[in-house]
Amino acid sequence: MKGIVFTEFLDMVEREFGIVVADNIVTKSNLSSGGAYTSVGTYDHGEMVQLVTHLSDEINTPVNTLLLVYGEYFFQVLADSYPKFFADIPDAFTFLSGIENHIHVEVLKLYPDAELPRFDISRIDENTLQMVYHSERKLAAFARGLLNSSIKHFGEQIEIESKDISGDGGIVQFTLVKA
Amino acid sequence: MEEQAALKRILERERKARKESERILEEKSLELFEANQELKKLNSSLENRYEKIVEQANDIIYRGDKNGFCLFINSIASRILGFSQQELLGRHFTEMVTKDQIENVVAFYTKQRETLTENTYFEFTVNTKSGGIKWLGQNVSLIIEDGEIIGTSAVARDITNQKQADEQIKRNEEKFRSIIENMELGLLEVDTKGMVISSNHRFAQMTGYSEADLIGKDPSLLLTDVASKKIIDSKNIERKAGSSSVYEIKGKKKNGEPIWLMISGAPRFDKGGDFIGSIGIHMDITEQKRLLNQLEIAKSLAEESSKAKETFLAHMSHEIRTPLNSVLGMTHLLGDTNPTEEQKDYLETIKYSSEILLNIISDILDISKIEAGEAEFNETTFDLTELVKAQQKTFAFRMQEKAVKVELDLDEKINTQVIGDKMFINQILMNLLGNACKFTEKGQIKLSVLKGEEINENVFIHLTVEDTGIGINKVHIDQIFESFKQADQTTGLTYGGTGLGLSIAKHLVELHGGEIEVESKINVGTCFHLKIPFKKTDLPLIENKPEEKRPIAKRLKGINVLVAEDNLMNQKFLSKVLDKCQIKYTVCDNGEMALKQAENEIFDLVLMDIQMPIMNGYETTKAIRKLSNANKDIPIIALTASALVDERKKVLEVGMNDHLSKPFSPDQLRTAVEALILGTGKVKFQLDQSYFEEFYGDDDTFKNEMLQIFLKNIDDEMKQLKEAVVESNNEKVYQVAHKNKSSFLMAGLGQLEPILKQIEELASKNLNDYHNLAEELFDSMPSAIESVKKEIGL
Repeated sequence: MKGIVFTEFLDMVEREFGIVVADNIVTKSNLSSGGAYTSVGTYDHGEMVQLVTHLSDEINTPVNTLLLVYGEYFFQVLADSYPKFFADIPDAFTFLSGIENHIHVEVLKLYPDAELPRFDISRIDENTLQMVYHSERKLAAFARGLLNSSIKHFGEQIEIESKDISGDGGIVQFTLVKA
Repeated sequence: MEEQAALKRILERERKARKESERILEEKSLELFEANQELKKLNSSLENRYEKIVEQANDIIYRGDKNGFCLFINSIASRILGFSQQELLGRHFTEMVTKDQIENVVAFYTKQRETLTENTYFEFTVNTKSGGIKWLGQNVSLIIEDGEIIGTSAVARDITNQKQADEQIKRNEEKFRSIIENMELGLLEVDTKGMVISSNHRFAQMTGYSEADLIGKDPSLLLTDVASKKIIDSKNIERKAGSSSVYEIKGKKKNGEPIWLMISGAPRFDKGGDFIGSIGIHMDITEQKRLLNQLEIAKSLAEESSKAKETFLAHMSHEIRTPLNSVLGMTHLLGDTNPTEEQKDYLETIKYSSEILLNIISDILDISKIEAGEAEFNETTFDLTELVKAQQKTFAFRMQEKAVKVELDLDEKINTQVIGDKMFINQILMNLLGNACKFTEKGQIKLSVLKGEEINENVFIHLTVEDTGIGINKVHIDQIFESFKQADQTTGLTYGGTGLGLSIAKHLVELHGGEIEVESKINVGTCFHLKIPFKKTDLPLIENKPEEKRPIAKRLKGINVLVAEDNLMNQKFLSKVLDKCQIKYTVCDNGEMALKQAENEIFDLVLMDIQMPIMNGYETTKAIRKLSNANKDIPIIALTASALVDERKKVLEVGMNDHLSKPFSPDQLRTAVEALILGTGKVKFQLDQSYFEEFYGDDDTFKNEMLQIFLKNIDDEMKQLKEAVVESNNEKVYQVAHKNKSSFLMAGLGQLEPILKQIEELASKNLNDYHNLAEELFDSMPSAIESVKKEIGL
C-alpha cells in the first residue's frame, strides 16, 4: 500500500484525535515499518488494518465508519494536490465514469506499483450511474467515502445506495441517483 | 507529560521517515541515472546501426527541413550525382531537376505539401555534376506534427538503367508498330474467347471497322460468309493448341464491299505459359485475288484456245489428207494404165507436188505436237545399223539424178541392237539427210555413225550428217533450229519447204536425251553433229536381207480382206490396189456393217478406217476382238488420217496390229499387209482344184499319196535350191527348178509353178538374176505347205 495513504491517515488522526491517540495506535500496533511512513514509500497493507483496528478501539468507533471518514478526507487531499484531475470535467457522473480510464491511469503514472481496485461502470439512464467495486482489500467503505466527497466536490445532490454482493465487502454495487 | 513523550516518539518517527524518503530518492535518482545511461548507449548504437544501413544503401537517402532543404544526405548520393555531400547539404533537390521536367516536379510536390499527403512517389530526371542525366524514382515522406510540416525525409533510387531498358522496349515497340503500320498490315488482338482486345489504324482503314466498333466483339461476325466463319473458328481452336498458321478468308467490309484477307495468326501466352489469346496480322489481298482470278480466266481461255488449235489441226489434217490420199492413190493407179511418156511426166509432177504438200502438213502437225509437249517417247529394241543402211539407200537412190553420192560410214563396233525410239531416229535422219539433199548440188553427203562412250546402261552414238552444199551464213546459223525460220528469207523461195525439218530434228534429239550441233561454211558445206544416248542390249544385229524389190502382190493373191471405210474415194483407191493384187475383199461403209460382216464370214485381214459414222474404228476393233469366231484374232491395220504420235499409240492400245497414215502408196499398203499376213502365216494358197480333178479324177487316195510324197521331199528340195541360189550355181539351180516344176503342179501349187519356170529359164541361160524370184518362192513356201497339208486333212 502506498505510503501516502499511511501519512495522510496519521495526519488526519493527529488533527482529529490529537497526537496522543495517533502515537498510541502506532505504539500499540506491531509495525515492521515502526510507523515511520513517507509518502513515496510502499508498506504492507496489514499495517493499515492494525492502525485502523487500534484507532477503532481507542475512540470506540466502528472500523467501517473510520474508513468512510478517511475516504472522504483522502479525496480532499488528492483534489488539493492534483487539480489537473478535475480540469474540464463538468459534473460528478462525468468524473466517475472516467475513473478507470482517466483517474487510475494518472495514478499509475505517479505510483507505478499502486494496487488499485476495479470499477465496472454503467450509465443506467440520464440520472443513474451504477458502479461495481472489486478489490481483495475489501475497502468498500473507503471507496464510499471517496464517492461522497467527489459528489460534494461538484456540489451536486446525488443519493448513493450500496449493496454488498459478495457479502464480505470484496464486491459492492453502488447505485448513484441524481435527486 | 504523556503528550511530550508522544511528540518525542512522533518526531523520532518523522526523522526516520525523512531518512527513508531520502534513501528512496537517492535510490530512484541512481536508477534514473542508470536508465538514462542505458538509453544513451542504446540510442548511440541504434544511430550507428541506422547510419550504417543508410550509408550502405544503394539509394539516396536524405532528410530535409520543413521546406525540403537538405539537412542530411548519405554518401551514395555523391556516387550517383557526382556532387560531394558538402555540396548537397543546404540545397533543395529541385535545383538538380532537368529543365524540361522542373515544372511538373514542382507542381507535384507543391500539391503534396498542400494536401499534407504523407508519402508520395515520383519519377524525374536530374543533371549530374558531370553534365549527365540520371533518372530518379523518389519516395518523399512529410514529417507532420499538429498539422504542420516540420521536416521531410526521402529515398531516391537511380532508375536510369531501368528507364533506358523501358525506353528501349518502348522504342522497339514503336519500331515494330511503325513497321507494321508502314507495311500496311492490319493488327488484331483477341482474347481466349476470340473477342477483340485491340486493333490498329490500318485494320480500320482496311475493313472500315474502327477499334471502337470491334472491342469486345467477335471479329468473325463481321464476316457474313459462313465458310469464312468456319475457317476462323477452326483457326481459333488451333491457336488454343498453340500453333500458328497463315490462311486466307473472304470477308465483308463495314460498307458491305467484299474483301480478301490473308491472316497470319499466332497464339499468345503469359509468363506462366497459359494461353491468353491470339494476335492476327491481316493483309488485304483483294487485288491479288482479283488478278489471280483474271489470270485463271486468261489461262482457261488460253487453254481453250490451245485446244481449239489442236482440234483445228487434227481436222485440217483429216480434211487435207483425205483428198490428198485420193490424189496420190489415183496418180499411182493412173501410172498403171499405160500412160504416154508425156502423161507419165505429168503424173510425176502431180505425185511430186502432192508429196511435198503431204510433207508440209506432216511437218506442221509434228511441230505442233512437239511444241505442245505431246510427242511421246516410245522405246523399242531395234537394229540401228539396219535403219541407217536403209536411210542411206533411200537417199542414194533419190540423189542419183543429181550425181551426188550418199555414203555411209558405219562403225563396226556397233554390233548389237539398241533400245530407243526408232521412229524418232528415223525422222531425225530423214530430216537431216533430206535437208542435205535439198541444198547439195554436187559432191557428196556422208552419214557417219560412231559408237561413243558407255555410261552405266547407256551407250552414246555419234551421228554426223555432212554435205558439200551451199552452207549456212554465220549470221543465220543460230536461227536454223527455230520453227518456221530458214537461213534467210530467200531460202524458202529458192528451195521450198517450211523450215520445220531442222526444228523437228532438234526437238526429237532433245526428247531422246541427246544433243545436236551444227557447223557450216558458205559454199563449202554443212555438218550436223548428233550425240544420242541409247540403252544397251545383248541382242545381235539382224542379218542383212537382200534389198531388192520383190513382186509381193503375187504372194497375197487369194487372201480375204475386210475393208471398213466410209470415204468413197478411199474405197475406190483401196479397191483398185486390192484388185491389182488379186486380193478378195468386202467393203463396208461403217464399223457396224463391218462388225456384222465379221460375224458371218472369216477373213484374213481387216483394213480399218478410224473416223467412220455409227461405229468408229476403235469401237469396231474392240467389238471384233470380242467375237466368238476365228476373226477374234484377225490382224487389223488402222488407216489413220493423221500422223499424230498419240494416235499411233492408241490404235495399238485398242488391239490393232499396225497402222497406215493416209495418204499411203500402194506399195506401203502391200508392205504392211504382207508383213502381217506372213507374220501370221495366213497366206493361203488357192490350190488348183481343176488340176486335181484333171489329174486324179475321183481317186482321193492317189491324190493323198502324191501330196504326202510332195510334203516328204519338199523341205529337202527347197534346201538344195537355196544352196544353189546362194552359190549362184546355175547348173544346179536349173536342175532343181526343173525337177520340181511338175511336183508343184501335182501338189496343186500351179500358182508358184511360173516362178520355178522363170528361175529354170534364167539358169539355163546362165543368168544369175533369179535371186529375187527365189526369195519370193521361199517366202511363199510356208503357207503353200500349210495349204497342202490342209488339203489332205493334216
